[in-house]
Formats: sequence, C-alpha cells, structure tokens
Amino acid sequence: MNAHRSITIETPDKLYRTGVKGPQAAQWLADQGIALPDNPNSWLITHDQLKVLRLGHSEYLLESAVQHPLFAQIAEASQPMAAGVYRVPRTDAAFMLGGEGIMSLLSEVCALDLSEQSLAEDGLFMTLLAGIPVIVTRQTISHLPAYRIWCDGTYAAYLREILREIADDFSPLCSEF
Amino acid sequence: MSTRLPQQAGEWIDREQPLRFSFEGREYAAFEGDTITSALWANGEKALGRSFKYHRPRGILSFANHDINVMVTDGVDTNIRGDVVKVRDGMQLHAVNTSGGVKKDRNRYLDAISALLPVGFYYKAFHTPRQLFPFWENIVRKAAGLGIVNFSFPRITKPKLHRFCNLLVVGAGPAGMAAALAAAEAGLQVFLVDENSELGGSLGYDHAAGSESRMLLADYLHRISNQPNITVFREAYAGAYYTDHLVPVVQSSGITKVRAGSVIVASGAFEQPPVFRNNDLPGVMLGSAAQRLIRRYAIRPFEQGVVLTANTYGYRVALDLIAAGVKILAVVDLRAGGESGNLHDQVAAHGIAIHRGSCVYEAKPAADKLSVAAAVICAYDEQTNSADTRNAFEIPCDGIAMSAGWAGASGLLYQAGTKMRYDDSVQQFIPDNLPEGVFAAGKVNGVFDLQARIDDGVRAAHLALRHLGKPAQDIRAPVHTGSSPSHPYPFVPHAKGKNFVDFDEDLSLKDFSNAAQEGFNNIELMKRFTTVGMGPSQGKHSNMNAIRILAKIRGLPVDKVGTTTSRPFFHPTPIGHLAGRSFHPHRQTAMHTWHKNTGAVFTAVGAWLRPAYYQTAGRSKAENIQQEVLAVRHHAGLIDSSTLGKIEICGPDAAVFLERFYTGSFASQPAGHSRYALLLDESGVIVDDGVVARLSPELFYATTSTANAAAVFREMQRWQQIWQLDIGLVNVTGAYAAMNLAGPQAQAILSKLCPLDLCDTGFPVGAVRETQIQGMAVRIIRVAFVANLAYEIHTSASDAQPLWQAITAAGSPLGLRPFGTEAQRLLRLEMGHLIVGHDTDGLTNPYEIGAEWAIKMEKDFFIGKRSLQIIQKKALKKRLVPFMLANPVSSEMPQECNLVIAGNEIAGRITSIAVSPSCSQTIGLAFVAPELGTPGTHFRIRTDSGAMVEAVVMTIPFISAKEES
Repeated sequence: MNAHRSITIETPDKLYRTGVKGPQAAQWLADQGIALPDNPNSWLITHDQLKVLRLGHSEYLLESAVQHPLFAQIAEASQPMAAGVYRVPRTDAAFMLGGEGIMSLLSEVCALDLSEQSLAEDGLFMTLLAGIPVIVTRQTISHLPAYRIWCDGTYAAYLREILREIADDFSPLCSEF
Repeated sequence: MSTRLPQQAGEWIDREQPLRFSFEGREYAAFEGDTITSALWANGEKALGRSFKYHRPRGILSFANHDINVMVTDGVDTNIRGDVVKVRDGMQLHAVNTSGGVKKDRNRYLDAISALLPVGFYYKAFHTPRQLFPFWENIVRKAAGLGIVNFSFPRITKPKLHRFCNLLVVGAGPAGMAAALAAAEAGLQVFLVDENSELGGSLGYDHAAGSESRMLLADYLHRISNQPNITVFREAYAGAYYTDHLVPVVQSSGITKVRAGSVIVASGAFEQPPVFRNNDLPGVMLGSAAQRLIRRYAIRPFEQGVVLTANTYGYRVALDLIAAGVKILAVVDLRAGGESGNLHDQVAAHGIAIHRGSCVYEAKPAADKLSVAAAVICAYDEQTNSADTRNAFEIPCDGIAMSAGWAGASGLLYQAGTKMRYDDSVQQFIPDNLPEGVFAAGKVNGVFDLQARIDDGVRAAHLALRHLGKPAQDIRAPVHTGSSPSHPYPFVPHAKGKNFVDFDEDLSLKDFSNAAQEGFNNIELMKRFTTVGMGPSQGKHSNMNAIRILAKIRGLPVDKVGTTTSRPFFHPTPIGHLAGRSFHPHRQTAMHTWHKNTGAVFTAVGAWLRPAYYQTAGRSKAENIQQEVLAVRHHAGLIDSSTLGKIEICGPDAAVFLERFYTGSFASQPAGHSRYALLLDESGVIVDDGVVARLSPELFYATTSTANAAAVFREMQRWQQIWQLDIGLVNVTGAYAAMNLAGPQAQAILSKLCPLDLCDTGFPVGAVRETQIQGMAVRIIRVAFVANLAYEIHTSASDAQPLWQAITAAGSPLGLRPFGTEAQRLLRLEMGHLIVGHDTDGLTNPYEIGAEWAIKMEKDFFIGKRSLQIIQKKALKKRLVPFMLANPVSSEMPQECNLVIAGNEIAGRITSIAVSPSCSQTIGLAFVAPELGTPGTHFRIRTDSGAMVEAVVMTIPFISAKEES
C-alpha cells in the first residue's frame, strides 16, 4: 500500500475474474444459481462472496477471491457458450482508492461526479479515468469514501503511475469557508 | 512622494507586512497585498508602461485586470498584469514593450509620426514590391507583441479539476452575493466565483463617502462565511460557458471545470472611458479605478483634479475623492440637464463648480509628457456631439476621473447563447432571452440601483431554484428608473485627434471613421480592419464605444449594428493552464518487463509502448536493427504483437456481419482458415486492415492494426446497432497477447513446442489452429507479413510471458532473437507489404494500392461498396508502387514524404523507404502518377536539400523465399 498524504492507493490481492455478455447472459447466469443485480450499472455480492457487476444491460463481470467453480465452467465452455451467451475473458487490473483526499484526486482524473449524491453504493460507473476506460464503484469504509477501480490490465502501470503522481503533488484549488 | 492614506477599514493591504521591490531598476516600498500598480502609484509613479503601437506613456485606466498598458516582466515570466498581480518582496520588475525603459523609451518617436501609421497601414504598405516584404516583415515582427516569450520558462503542471454544484454564481458583488445566499439558504450547493481576492464587488469601493455599502458588505461576508452550502472561489474567473452549464473556473493554480445545475451570471459591468483628446495620459482614469485605489489600497489617486461624468455615478466618485483628500476643482457633466438630487447637492455643498453640458475637450500633458497637467473645459452639445471651444478654459490638475457609462460583462451570457437587446433606458445591451438554466442579475442585467441589484440577485436565485425543481417565489424583475447610467455617445471630437477608443491597440476616434470610409462599415469587418477589441483586454473597454461610433456613422440604432462574437476564453488564459497535466495513457503488453530487461528501446505505437529495437552493447541503433532483420531472414525472430486489436465475433450471424463489415468474403470461409480483411469507410477510403480467422462455424477471431484497434471495435459496435444481427462482439485486445515467430527456423522452433503438423501442406499460409504449448492454450495463425514462414501465436495475457520465454528458450539454439518495430517495418517492406495509415492516407482508396483482389464487389453490400462503384468508373489519380533507388546513395538519403517529381511537376510522394540489408539496396513504396507505375519506369525523388535522386519502379516482393535461409 502506498499512502500519499491523505490518499491511499491499494492494489487488491490476487482476485479471479471472468465475464459473460449477450442477450441471454442474465438467464444463463441465473440458471447457474447466480444472484444478479436488478438494474443496469449496479453490483452485488452473492452469498458465496462472488462479486457480480452488471455492466450496462447485458454484460456481467464476476470477481472472486477464490477460484469459483463457475469460472472454470466458463473458461472451458465453447464460444458462444450458448445461444446469446458469450464469454468475456477478463484480465483487469484493480485499484482501491481511499483516504480523506480521495475526492480531490478523483476530481482531477474523472469528469463525472463520483460523490455519494451521484454514485450510490450499489451503483457503478463506466467512465474515463485519466483518459482510460474504467469501471468505478464506491463504498464507505470507516466513514470515508473508498473507490474500486477496474481497468484493462494493459493500462495498469500507467494508471498506477498517474495516480501516484497526482497524489504526490496534489493541492486543493478552492478556498472554502 | 507617498500618496498612501491613513489606515482604513476594509483595505486590502497588510501594513504589518512591509516589503520592497524594484521597478525599472529603482527600489520601492510596498505592503503585503499591494498590486504592482498600487505599490508604484503609492510611491508617486504614474507612468507605468508604454502603449502597444505608439509607445505613449500610460498609467491606470481601469485598475480592474484590464490595464494592458501596464504589463511587466520579472525576467522569467512576462506580460504580468500590474493592476491585479500582487507585488512580492524582492521582485525585480521591468515594463514590457519599451526600449530603454518607460520614461525614456526610444520608441516614443512613434507617437510623433502616428499620423503616418493609420489603421490599415500595414495591410497596404508592404504588398509591393514583393521582394522587400522579408525586410518589412522582420521590422514588423520585432515591433509586434508586448513581452518577450521566455522559451526556457519552466513547465509547471497545473491541475485541471472537475467539481459539481447545484448553482454556480459568477460574480460576488451585491447581486451575486444575494443570489448565492438566497439559493444556499434554500438548500442548494452553491459555488460563488469572483476574480478579486476579496468578495463584495462595488460594495467594497463605491461608498459615495458614506458607510452604507461598507456595513452591508460586512453583513454579507458574515452570512456567507457562516453558510456551509456556499463554496467560494476567490481570485478566480469564469473563463467560458459550454453546453450543459460547464464553466471552467480559472485560478493561478489551475482550472476547475465546474458542472453546475444552473448558472447565475452576476458579473457586473465594465466602466467605459469617455473619448477626448489625451484621455490616455497617466493620471486620467476611470472613476471606479480611482475608488478602488482609495478603498482597497488606501491610496489618494491624485492631489487635485477634475471629474468628467455623464451619469449619477460620477457624483459618487467625486464624493469618494473628496473624502480621500483630493481637491476636486470641477465636476464636468456632458449632460445638458446634469444631475439633480441628493448626490448633486452633496457635491455642490463642498463648493465645487459643476459644469453642465460641458466636456473635457482635452487633457494637457506635463512638460515631460508623463502625466496630466491640466484639463481644458468647454461647452458640449449632446445633440451634435460637438465641443464649443469659444469659451474654453483650462484647469491645472494632476488627475481626471471619468464616469460616463458601463458595458455589461456579458461574455458568458453570449457564449451560453443568450439573445441580447439594447435597452435605451440604460444604454446597454442586456439579456432578452436567456438559455434554460442560465440567469442574469445585477449590472449585467441592466440593474444599477444598489437595492435593486440585491433584489435582482434574489430573483435570479428563485429562478434557479425553480429550474432545479425546488420551491421558489415569483419575484418581479426590477425596472430601471431615473437617468441612464450610461451616456449614449460620450465622444468629444478634436482636430488633433489622440482621443483614444481602444487603449490596447492605440485606436483613436478618426481610425473608425477612416475604416468606415474604406468600406469596413459592419462591426465584424471594422473589428478586423481596425483590430478594435483584439488586444489583451479583448475589447472590454472599447467594443461598446466602437459599436456606438459605427452606429453614429451609419445612422443606425445601436441594436442594428450588433456585437461581435464572444468566444472562450473570456479572459486570456495561460496555455499551461489549458494543457493541464496532459494525460498520455499508454499500455504495456504482458511481456513488457521481459523486453525492458532485455534492453528494449521503447516507442509509442498508438496507445502502446512497443520495443523499437533491442540495444546490444557496442552496436548503434541502425546496426541493431540490421542485425534483427538479418536474424529473421536467416534464422528466426520473435516480435511481441500483443498490440494488435483482437476481436471475437461470435454467434449465428457472425459471417453475415463480417461480409457486411469488410470488403472480402467470409461466408464461405472454412473453419481453420484465415483471410485478409480490408475495412473501408462509407466513402470508400481505406480505414484498416487485418486478418479474420474462422475458429468454428459461429466464432471468428479478427485482428486489426495496433493504432486502429479501438476505432475498429467502436465501428463494429456502431454497425451492429444498425444491423441488429444475432452476434456478440467481444474485444479481447487486452485479454489476449500475441507474438510473431518468423524466419526460416520458425517451423523448427515451433515443432519443439507443439504437436501440430507444421509442414506446408499440413499448416499452409492462412491456416489457423488451436492447440496447447506446455499446457497453455494458444491460437496459431500461419502468416507471411514479415517473412514467408511465420506463425502468429495468440494466448491469454496471463500465459503470455511464460509462452514467450518458452519459445525464446526453444529458439535460442537456432539463432532466434527478439526484434522490434523498426526491424518489422523493414522486413514487411522487403516483403512488399504496406501499412495502412503509414503508406495510405485519409483519402486512399483500394484501387490506388492495388487491392482490387481483396474486394468482392459481387457481394450485395459491404461498407463503402456504393462509393467504390463510383470510384472505379473514374481514372486513377495515383498508385502505390514499390521502387528501388537506381544508384547507391552517395550523399543524401531520400526520406518518407519526399516528393516524386516528373518534369517540373509533383507526381507523388515517398511513403516508405529503407536500406534493405537483405537486398543490399534502398527500397521503398511511393505514390506516383499512374503513368509512372509500370515496373521499370524511372522517376526522380527530390530530397530535403533539393537534390534529385533517381528511382525505378519494381515488382514485389523485393526478396524471394530462396533469399531467406
């Protein structure tokens, strides 16, 4: 973990990920016994600690700290997996951003309002962060906002570098009463 | 001589923090909080800079961020605005745009010959004779500009932040503060932006010798400081307005892009100078500038002077000057009816002569011409706008305060799309029809009475509340009563001119009539011919007067003349601010660390960092590249191709989709085979190319060029939205890695690692196989891009590095070495392959590169087909041909983009050129006129130095399979 003043940038321990998409993806996952978020651009954690992110209407990112049996099933399936169901290999990099100064850092790298007024705890944004496509979710940890960021793994070094650079020399712009 | 006043409440300086600085080599004392201008003025200096064109001495005009004749340099930065930039201890300052300093500027002679340099002079004078133009250009370029750009200026990263609020209020004067408080008290999150270091606007300086404004300001500041819903941005200007209430707020530390639910523009108004001879002399200043000097910096503007006015405000200025100890010798009112009421009576009670229907005919300079010495007063006819000098008299004085009117600070409103109208009751353009969610309040809205401005701010806040769906009151807009705050035509003609309209560009009244006589009699043309409003203050003190002059010349109402276009940014903004941190995203492949540890020198290709070549000890870059090429030709090479775009197209309609998307045929493509894929846009221009491999009846695997990967996938998605086929598109560019094993030993190396039949019949060019290498799932495509024998091996990103190392280990004994993009470009050139985007451009069609074979016109449809049907009926204009230099290069090597010359005409250009170690020749590709395209035809290339080099058209490939061993 790298702490920069009041900003923390963590890289979560090894996590397993896979994805499925397609018009029948929701039904296919439900048939496998996976609980799904009701709304597009939202997420949940299942009873067996599988994180399920619904990306738009018909794409799902699945993440787990352990090798969930479903992951092997998806990996070994042919492509298409079934009518209207397609495997999406995921090699994302993930970051956890937190600390008192996190909103300041995010305000420099993201054009969207990531505050609680805009991004609910079960919601997610697919947006650009420092110029690259990411998925963002927000949580509250110890009364402070914390953000999970997923990006394509090939951007990981760049994103880590730019976040550290900003965290190092960030200074608030506005004077507030 | 110090003109500093005793300490007073509300001043912006800290007398406990004295500091020293130098200006033009002389030391001065100042206080923390002083601006450069205020500090110099307090020390009795009045000539603070020289004007842009005629190098006339200038002092304070607006003292509000628009005194562009008072710009200084500290040796590092330049064009520092003296009127607003705070002086710092130890500063060593010099005025810009002088030769020999402000007081003895050697270029001041230009003022004496100004009659020879009228508007339009430059346009007309230097056209002929043409051969002399470089001479004049050199002189004009040296004379142009203000400060000298410091090319060694350090790059200081300025952040660009994004912030969000319900309501953005621009301007923290009485209207803005009232609006912010009303909205915040109703629960809105409010950003309040003001360009000054302290809030309050005119409440802080326009007191008319009373205490009402000061008390009101104290109350507002207290309420705002206790209002948690208000965030204040000081020393910040709202630089522009963009769609959906996006407003960049600029501070010295950077830009904050504010996205607001609603915007209230309460930006006030710029005081406008009346126009009379020598109205630019140091000591002649706007009334509000004099008030700011007094209240903010505790400085007496001058000792004895005259107030020239044409509105009520001038009387308030007079009272403030009197309170500051200035001896007012006369109030000169342009209006025949003058002023009546309390303010007039207060001024008169001081025994001051008030001259109605009079004007300052001219300001007379002191002997050194560096300050004003007297004002010449005479009668003025408002109807004819003429001065009657028969009874003119002279008042010795060291200052003239001017208050003749205002122009709304309405730049943001214009940018937002506000329809404005000219209101005769206030002689000002005011909003007529505002865009949704944008509101105006205060002076910019044509409201000048203090209480009315406050009411207007509250009204605007309630409109914003309603816009945001909150409960709101209906508040009637204030209606202006009484005399106009602005004079309709505050101009005093003078036979000798020098009555300035635009202080940035040294434009005087006659320049406008001259422009009109030349035919530039519409406001946009007049602006460009005279350059009015094109200086650093962007017309904030000149545009309104220019419009009035033009209206007068043409005999039109001001409304009919219109205004020029207001564009972002509203105020000059440093380029460093606009650049911000400059994000340059880059991607790294799974083998990046291996490349780095093996001496790779990286280059950016699209968003990716790729090895350009691998540095080995004792070899130059060229030698390394040549060695990599030779390794591929004679042994084997391995290049990281992970950067290729990789897309899976799956589903029952996958083949149908590809048939429509690419020019080739895919419906008939058997599983286990790949085909060349050429992508056009709808105008038939080549966009990209790649390979499409069919892995199963419902699964195709397409590769795209590195640079176009994202664009091609985006296009696929867009067309799928239109076509609605039964397919899925999966972008696996990042999830899969790829590497290209090439060269005569490639088959032998691969055979060590996988069980496939790799012979030419078992695995021919174009075949694709799915297998495993050391337990890692791979897709292998037999390709022939850089060598006749090559395998493109695709695997998951997580398996890529072990796979790369396995191949490297297997290949090392057979001479395998990694190669980079530099060698790849040369290798493909030897093979005669073009690179889309490198050897083609944004207009190239398939016929020009000889790609007819890749187009299946018999298909019902593919993107670009209809355009190709038209294009193919027309004669070719150019053709891409392979060439070889006819003779060995003895001196200058031709470069890419050098022109092909036929006769004396340009007949094409080089797109690729390189020395081929395999051919021992210089080879390349070039666009040439079709008649030059036959093999054996000679053409000439003009090098950078102009030398001509002979080339001959060849056939491809430049090398044959037998040369690879």
